Parts: sequence; C-alpha cells; structure tokens
Amino acid sequence: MTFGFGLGSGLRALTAARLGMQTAGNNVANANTAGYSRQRVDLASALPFGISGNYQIGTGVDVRGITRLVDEGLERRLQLQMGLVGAAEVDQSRYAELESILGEPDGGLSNQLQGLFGAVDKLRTDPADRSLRGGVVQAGSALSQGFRLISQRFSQLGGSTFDEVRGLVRVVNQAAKSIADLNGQIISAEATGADANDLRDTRAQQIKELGKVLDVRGIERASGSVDLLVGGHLLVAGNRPSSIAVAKDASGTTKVTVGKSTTPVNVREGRIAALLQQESDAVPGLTSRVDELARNTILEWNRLHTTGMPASGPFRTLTGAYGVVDGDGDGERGDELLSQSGFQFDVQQGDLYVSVTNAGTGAMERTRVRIDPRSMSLRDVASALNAVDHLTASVDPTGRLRIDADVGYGFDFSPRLDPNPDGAGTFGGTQPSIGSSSAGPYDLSGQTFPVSFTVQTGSATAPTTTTVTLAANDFANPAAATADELVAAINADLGSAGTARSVGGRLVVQSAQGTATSQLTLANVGAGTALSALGLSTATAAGRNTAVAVSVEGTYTGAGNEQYVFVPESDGNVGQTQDLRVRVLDHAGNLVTTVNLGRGYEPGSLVDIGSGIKVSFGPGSLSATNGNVFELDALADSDTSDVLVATGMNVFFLGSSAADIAVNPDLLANPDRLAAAIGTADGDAGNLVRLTALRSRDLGSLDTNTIEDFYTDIVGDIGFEASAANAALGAQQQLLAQLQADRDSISGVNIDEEMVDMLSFQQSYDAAARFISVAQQMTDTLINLGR
Amino acid sequence: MSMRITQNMLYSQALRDVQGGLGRYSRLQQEVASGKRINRPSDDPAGALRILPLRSDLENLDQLSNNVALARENLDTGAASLEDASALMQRVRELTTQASNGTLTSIDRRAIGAEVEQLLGQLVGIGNSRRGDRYLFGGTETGDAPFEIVTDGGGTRVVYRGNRESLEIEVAPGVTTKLDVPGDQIFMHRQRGATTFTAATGSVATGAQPLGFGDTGVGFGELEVTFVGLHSDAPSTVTAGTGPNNAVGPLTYAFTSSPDTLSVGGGPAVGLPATNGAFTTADGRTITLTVTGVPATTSGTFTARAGLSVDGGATITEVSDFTNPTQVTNSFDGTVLNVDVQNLTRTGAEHVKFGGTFDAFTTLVTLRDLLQNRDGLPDDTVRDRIAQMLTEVDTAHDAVLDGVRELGFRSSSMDVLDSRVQGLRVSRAESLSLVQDADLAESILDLQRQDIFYQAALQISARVMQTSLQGFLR
Repeated sequence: MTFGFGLGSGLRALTAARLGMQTAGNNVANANTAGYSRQRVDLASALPFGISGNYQIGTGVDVRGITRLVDEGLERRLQLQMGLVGAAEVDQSRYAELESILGEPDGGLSNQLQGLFGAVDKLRTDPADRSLRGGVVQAGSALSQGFRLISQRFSQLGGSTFDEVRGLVRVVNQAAKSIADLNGQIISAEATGADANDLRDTRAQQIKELGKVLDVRGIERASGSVDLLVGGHLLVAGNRPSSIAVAKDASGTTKVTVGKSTTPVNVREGRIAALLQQESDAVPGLTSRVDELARNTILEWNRLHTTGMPASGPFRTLTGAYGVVDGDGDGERGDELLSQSGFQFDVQQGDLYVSVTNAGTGAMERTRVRIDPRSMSLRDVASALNAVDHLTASVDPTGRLRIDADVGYGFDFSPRLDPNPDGAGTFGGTQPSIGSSSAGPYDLSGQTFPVSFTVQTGSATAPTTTTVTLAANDFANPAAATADELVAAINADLGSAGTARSVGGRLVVQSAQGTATSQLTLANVGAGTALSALGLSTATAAGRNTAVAVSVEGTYTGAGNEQYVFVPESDGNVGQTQDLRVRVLDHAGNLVTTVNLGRGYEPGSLVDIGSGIKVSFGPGSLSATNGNVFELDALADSDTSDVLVATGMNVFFLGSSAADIAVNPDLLANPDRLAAAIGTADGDAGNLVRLTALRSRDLGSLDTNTIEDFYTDIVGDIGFEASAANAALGAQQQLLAQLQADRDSISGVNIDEEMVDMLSFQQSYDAAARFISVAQQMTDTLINLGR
Repeated sequence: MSMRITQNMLYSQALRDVQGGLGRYSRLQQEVASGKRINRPSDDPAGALRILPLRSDLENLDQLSNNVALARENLDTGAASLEDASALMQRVRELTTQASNGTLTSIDRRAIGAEVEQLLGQLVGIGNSRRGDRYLFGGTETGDAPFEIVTDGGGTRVVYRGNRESLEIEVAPGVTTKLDVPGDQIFMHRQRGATTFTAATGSVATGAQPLGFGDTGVGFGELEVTFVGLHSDAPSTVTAGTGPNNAVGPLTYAFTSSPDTLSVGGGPAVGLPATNGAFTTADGRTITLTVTGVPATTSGTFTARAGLSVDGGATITEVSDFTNPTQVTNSFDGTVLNVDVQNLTRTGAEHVKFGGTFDAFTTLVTLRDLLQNRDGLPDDTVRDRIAQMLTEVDTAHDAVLDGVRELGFRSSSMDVLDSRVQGLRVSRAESLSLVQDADLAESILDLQRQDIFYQAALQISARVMQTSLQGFLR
C-alpha cells in the first residue's frame, strides 16, 4: 500500500472525463460541418501496479488518443458517386437547354416547317394572288430564321463548354493548392505522432468535392499526405501542388492537360468529363443532324424551285447566286472542272433542259444540255448554253454563271410540255422533209468513203441540186454514226438549201422552201448506197400549203424523263384517209401507243397518249414514205444534274446548312420570282403541286424520312435523352443520398448520443472528483494519526 | 444491428422529402396552368413523337377545311353564273319560237335579232365572270378574259382564249377537286353529228362512219363551187373561154370533121372553130370554150376544174382529181370541210350544216345573222333555218345545264367532304388532346394530394427536428 490512496488514478480519470467532455463538445459543435467525422476518445485502463508480487492494482484510466470514425472504403465510393452526380447534373442541364432551344412541342421549327408547307397549300388555292405568294416567301424566311437561331444557340452551347471547363479548372487548381497545403500541415502535425483529425476531415472533404469535377485518384503516403493523380499525372504530390490547364486544339475541341504535360488527359468522370463529352458528341451530333435537315430541305426545295416557272414568266436575264472558286489555282475562275469548283452542292452527271420562248408568239424551243462534272467546267456549261438560239451565257469575273435572252425572248428551265413540239415542221410541215425510217446510230461501215448523195430542193420547175459528201473522219465510228454527227456533216455541205436535223434520234433532211410547189429529192451519187444505209427514201417529197398543226396539252405524270417520237405508219390526210395511224414510241424505240388520225378523227381534237399527255393534230397530210417525224420531250425533272441548284439560278434558299440558310433576297424583294407554276398560265399551280408532294416524300438522304418526320425524330431523340438524363440524375442523387446516409451513420454526429456521452463523462468527472476528495480525507486522517 | 441515425440524416431526409414534394408540386402546377401534360419533349418523349405529326395533320386538315369552303364558294359562284346563262338560253328559246312564226315580217325578225345580239353580249359577259381577280371559265388562264367576240370577213365568232387545264386543290386527304369547268366545255360544247349539204352541186359530205367526222366547221356554212379552168387532160386545141360556166368535173367530148363540130357532155354539136362558144351538155349545164384547131374525128373525156371555197372565195381549193375527197379550209377560222366530189357536176353554192356543232355562242351568232338575214337568204330559207335552230338552242342550253349540274354536284360533294374533313379534324384533335393535354380533373386532384403530402412532410419534419434529448434533460 502506498501513500496517496490512488490520487494519481483519480487525476487520470478527471483528465479522461474532461477530454471526453471536450470531444463530445467538439462533436456537437461540428454536427453540421460538412465532411466532419465524429471523434471518440479512446480510453484504456492504465498499467496496473504490482504489489508484493502477489497481486496487482489498477492505476486508473489512460487516454490512448482521439480517433475519427471513418470508413475509408465508403469515403472513396462517396467521392466516385459525387463524380457521377456531377456528370449527371451537367447532362441534365445540357439536355434541358437543348430542349428549350428546340422549343418543342409548342413552338420551334415544327411550326415553321408547317408554316412553309401551309403557305404553299394556301397559294395553291389562288396561284395568282400576290400576297399569298409573299406569304410563301415570308414563311421560307421564318423557317430560315428558325434554323439559324437553333444553329446559333447550338454553337453557343458548344462554345460555352470551354468557358465552363475553364471555370471548373480554376476550382480544381484552387483545391489542389489547398490540398497540398493541408498535406503539409498534416505531415508536420502528425510527425509528433498525434492524429490530425480535423485537418484530415477537411482534406477528405476537399478531395470529395474535387471528385465532383473530375476523377482523381488519391494515394495515401506513410507520412500522412495524400498524392492525387488525374489520368496518371500527379496533380498533388505531398505538399507540392501542380495544376491543370484547358485549351482548344486545332479542331476547336476543348482539351485538358495536367502540369507540364502536353498530352490531353482522358477525363472519365465528373462535370468536366460530362462537358467534354457533350462538346465532342451530343451537341455536334445534334448540330449535324439539324444541318443535314436544313441541307436536304434546301436541296430538295431548290431542285423544284429552280425548275419552276416564276409568276413573271420566263427569265430575260439570270445570274447565279454562287460563283466558282479558283479550284485549279491558275488565277482564273470558271475554267476548273465542275467537280472542283467548290460548289456547296455537287453537280451530278445529268441533263439540263433549257427552253427559250418567243415572248410574242409564245413558241418555245427546248434544248438539252448534257452536264458531266468530271469533264466540264462552268465555262463549258456557259458555252453550251450560249450555243442555244437567242441565249447569251457567260461566266462573270466573280465566277457566276450569267444567262441573257435576246430581246423578245425569254428562257426557263421548267419541265412543262412544249405546246407546239413540231417547231421544225418535220411532221406534215409546209417545207418538204425526208426523215430516216429508224433512229440512229447508223451503220456506215459498208460505205467506201468519201460517199456522196445529192439533195435536190426548190420546185419541179426550178430545182437546185446540192451534193453532200460524208467523209470517214466525220464519224467517231462509221459503224455507229450518230444522227448528231450526220447532222453536222450534212449541214456543212447543204448551206442555205436546207437543214439536216436530228428529230427523236432520227436523221431528217428538210428543204428551206415551203408551199405545195416545193420539192425535195435525195439521190445517191454513183454506186453509193449511203441513203439506204441511212434509211432515207429516194422518193420525192412535196411541200404543202398548210402544215399539220400539232399541239400538246396536259401535265406529264411519268416518273422519269421521256422523249416520245411520233411517226406515221402510212401516208394520208388527217381526218380523211381511212386508218391513218401514227405510232408513238418512247426514247428506247418501244411502242407506247398507236393513234388513228384517219377517217373518224376530228382534226384539232385531243388524243390521250397516256402519262397525262394529250396531243391534237390539225388537218393536213402526213407521209410515212418521207419519214415524217416529231419528238416530244416529257420531263419529270428538267435538271437531273443539279447544276442550277449548285450555281444558284433563281434558288429559293441560299446556304447549305442550318447556320447559313436564308431566303434568296431576290425573292424577298420581288415575290413574283417565286416559281409557283410549271407553265405560263396565271393560274398554273404546277410547281406548288410538286412542292406539296415534297412534304410527303421520303428522302433517301434523310434516312427515308420526310422532312418533317426527320425533324420529329430529332425532337423525339432529344426528348428521350433529356428524360433519360433526368432519370439518371435522380437515380445518382438517390445513390449519393444513400451513401451519405451510410457515411452519416458511421461518421455523423448524433446529438442525443453526445448528450448521453456528456452526461456520462460529467458523472465520471463528478465521481473522480469525489474519489480525490475521499482520498484526500483519507490522507488527512492518516496524517492526523501521527499528531 | 440497426442503423445509427444522426440528426443530419434526419435533416437531409426532410429536405429531400420537401424538395421532392415541391418539385412534383411545381410540375403539376405547370400542367394545370398550361392545360398540357407534355410541355417539353422529355415530359413524355414517346408522346412528343406523336404530337408533332398530329399537329401537322391538324394544321393540314384546317387548310383542307378552308379549301373545302373555298371550293364550295367557287363552285357555287360558277353555278350561279351558269344559272344566269341558263335563264338567258331560255329567253333565246322563246325568241326563236317567236321568230319561226310564219306571220313575222323581216322587220319584226330584225327587232328580235337586236335582242339576240344583246343576249350574245350578255352571254360572253357571263363566260367572262370573275370571282375576285380570277376569271372563272378560262381554265388556269385566270388573268385574261377567256372569251372574246371577233368579227372579220368570216363573220362574227367567239374565240376561247383560256386553256383546258383546271386549278385543282386538295379538299380531303388524297382527294382533289377542280375549282371550275373550263369555259369551252360549257359554252363551246359540241356533239358533232352528220354534216349535211343541200345537194345543189352534186357534192356531198364525206365520211360514212361516223358521219361528218373530220369536219371542224361549225354551224351553217356555205360551200361555193366555181369553175376555175380546164385540166391539162383537155385536148390541146381546147381552152377555157370567157363566159358563163356551170359545168365542172369530167366531161365527155366528141369531135366530128366535115362539118367540124364539137359536142360536150352529150349535148348539141357546135360548129368549129369557136371563140368563147357556149357548149351545153345533155343535162343542161353550160361551159364556155374557145376551140382553135380542128382535130380529126375523136372523142374522150376531159376535166373542168372546180374551185371550192368555204370562206366566201377568200381561198379557193382547186379540184382536178374528182375521185378522192377534198379538204377545204376556212382561212378565217382554220376549220375544215371534207367534200366528196365524185358526183360534183355543176357550180353553185351548197348550204352546209355542221350537225350538232351549235355551241351557245354560234347558236346566238347564227340566230342573230339569220334574224337580220345578213346573207340575204330567201324568206322561207330563213324561216326554215330559224326553226332548225330550235333544237340547236336546246342542245346548247343542255350543255349549260350540264355545267350547272356538274358544278352543283361538285359543290354538294363538298358537303360530304366537309363532314369527312371535320370528322378527321375532331378525331385528330382528340388524339392530340389525349396525348398532350392534361387530364385537368386528375391533375387537380393530384395537385391537392401533393399539397397534402407536402404539408405532411413539412409538419413531420418540424416535429422530428424539434425532438432532441436536450428538451427532456431539465
């Protein structure tokens, strides 16, 4: 037994109780501190004191330390979860923004698309109404604006990514610095062996906050410091912070780098990851779909508009909206191939049909211009157009195609039917003609070149004889001499006596003189057999005082471009001769139908030949012997090459994407340039019918969707994404709440619990104090014994 | 071991509850306020996918419904104009009946003719009816008057300047209707029948099946047959003289020598040589010939060429081959008449009637000309022709009535289409409402329930947060 009666253990108990009380107080004080982990005083009985070697006596309580109650695994999961929530928040707000940009289902582009097609439907009810025409142009303008607004706001959204990431990078760098500082403090605090609980809590909280922004991996060192890694690069090493940086690469994509490294880090979690993903994937994907929609709307609409007929009638002059670029870099524009001319829309291999109309008589002449973008330049197109009678075409210095018509003439590209297809009068016309019995090419391989035949024109009393000589080099392949080659060769010799033509692919020779007295006779020279090889009759053809008037009505309803060729089967008078049949052949020479113009046919009445075409024939005589023939172009698409769209000849929309779509200012200034018609009648709504049909046409370039359906799909997809993002955010927040609850359950402060602890420590303290007082009394008693 | 609960957990749970409640509260509030269940695509993406096409459909149907109304208005206006035309034709019939009365003098008829002239102007006016800026009966040529009265050497004609196309508008999904009937189908409707000649010259109309087809002339016409000389098959000593000629076609001749005579067509022999000698045929026709030389006794046939004209001699079609039919063209209007000349023997004027070709305008023009007797026809011919005109008036009237019926039928079919379009509209609108609109009763009930939940959450939270051990340790 020692002197003192255990005063020491009493003191220890007092200290322990006081520390316990202080810890409980600190816990209560930090009950609401984010990231605070409750602390607990670790008590243990002090080393016992051995007496006489037989028994030991306790010496009270020892405070081993004050520890944090933390589940490190849970902390890491929490950090990860915060990253997921951060990313989900970004996603959710982005999609909400995208939704609000589209403004559907009660506003936005769907209204404007409906508005445009609706305006067309309205104009269809009165194509001559100027205000309704203006309505279509305005509706087009509204649609363009809608597209541009969406495009602009999408690109702003994409552009804002960089700013947002930069803001977040600042947060990360701030946190890295502060974590490095904390590391330093913790290292020095714990060097003495103590636990720097509160510093650790603060650091853990900051690392978790960082996890919300990007994925960091923490590695705890023995010194107590935590190193942070971002994508394999050190962001914090002990007490030394590094930093991350943000920049745009060459393609304008936002990239994040760590420290001095220049290789972009692959950020997988957190807000930054979500922002980068949006920038590289979601927004551009959407932008490109909206662009695709705009592009195809422009293309299809313009295809129809450029081949329509404006209310003002055929054009007198027209200049393209787009010039060519100097594709071959020689300083000159217009001499490079169409495929290298830098057009927004590609020129295809195809045909352009241009019609020239005499403003006085209304007579029209149609010419086919073959377009091959791989062998022709814009100048070649211009010179081909220039070769058309009454047209002047050129490429201006800015590289734009310009076409002018002679005074008194107009031109257009509409697919309307030529009302008077036999312009040359090779079908019962007044000037005698002799046509081939078959379509070219002709086999002249059996001829000994040069081969000649004579053409006798004039009248029986005053004949003129011209000799035509064909040379071998007139033909690319004499075994397959084309009608065009023959026309060129014959016209070179024929002079003013007559003209050779290619009608429906058949060679026709026609005298320059008309009336009943004029005659035309062909005869071989020497032993030549050229005429029979060419299928030309040697019988004399007589002219006529009155021509058979051929006129066409209706609208061609066939799917593709067609050329009908009309040839009589026999000779006779329209409406008189028994069984005067005329064959109607298609471009391939197949029989379409046969019409009987003989007795029983009233001259001038319409005959339906199918595909919406009706033809009438006036009185007069026809001759199969002389190879009477005329051709009728029936066009579904008068520009299969898209050259009008590419060069912007009276286009409705300018631009090629959602960003630059706009209504052609020419149309805004003058709505009469709106091509509502196909023909020239005021009430013609032919092109409007085609434009209406576009509304319900499934376009291959839009994944076999109509324009409106494609847009609906975009809206639907954003809706699904946005709704998924909402759901994902909810789920992630739920998970985070669960994890936080778990963490609170372990590390959180329960005030009731602390109250109980406080009571218990208070009582311990009271008891220990009491014990000391008793021990003191006992000591006093002992001291007083000795008095 | 049960989970340890801390105050913070209670607080954040309470906060989440209150927040969640408030969120649903605000969504329901938006639903009730806007009346719509889907305010942005993410509210119900599948629903939003249906909304856009439905709305597009609905707008389309609205346009169709407007179109139906417009079509009806147009068709009714057209029908009303044609009813006026029908009343006018009725008046024409009365006048025709009156004029064919044998007691009327040419002066009386002239007075009636003046009224017919007026009616003609009115009918052309009806044909040029407009609705707004658009001519109703010109096909798609809506900017210019479709009918025009032309008077030239060929008389008075009404020409059609329109086309035969029609403005078609959509009046129900996939159904289009023509807004009008091109005027030439109503006012210039023809049902061509047999062309008849009065057989004064021996020429007849061609074409057996069906009769008269191939001819494009209209109304009454006159075929003038004149002598234009001898064909080259005549003996070289014989040339046409100057004097009366009414014989055309193949003629037989017989020369005799000592005495030198010539007999033509079996007629009496005339002594030769003869200058402008009149030769008479056995059937009483006359031909003036100059015969210079005297050939040996010989006989044969030669042809006297005929000149045919249907435009009063403005253009003459010469006939020398009498075996084939000949086509004669009127240079004023381009119409043709096919003439069978096999039995054409003498000159003269054939009155031609183009059967069934009296459209409303030619009827009036012909009637007027007859009443005013512009061609100077004998009285009984005029009366006879006026009587004939009665059937033509009726035919032309029928064509107008057909137009009225056609437009009326189309207009009444608009009623059916209208109810169909309205039906579609209602059903589309219902579908749209079903997809997009909030069920207000349900939403309001939900809103109230949410209100209760929200209140409860607030109360419970307040209660829970107040409770603490502290309160009891006094």
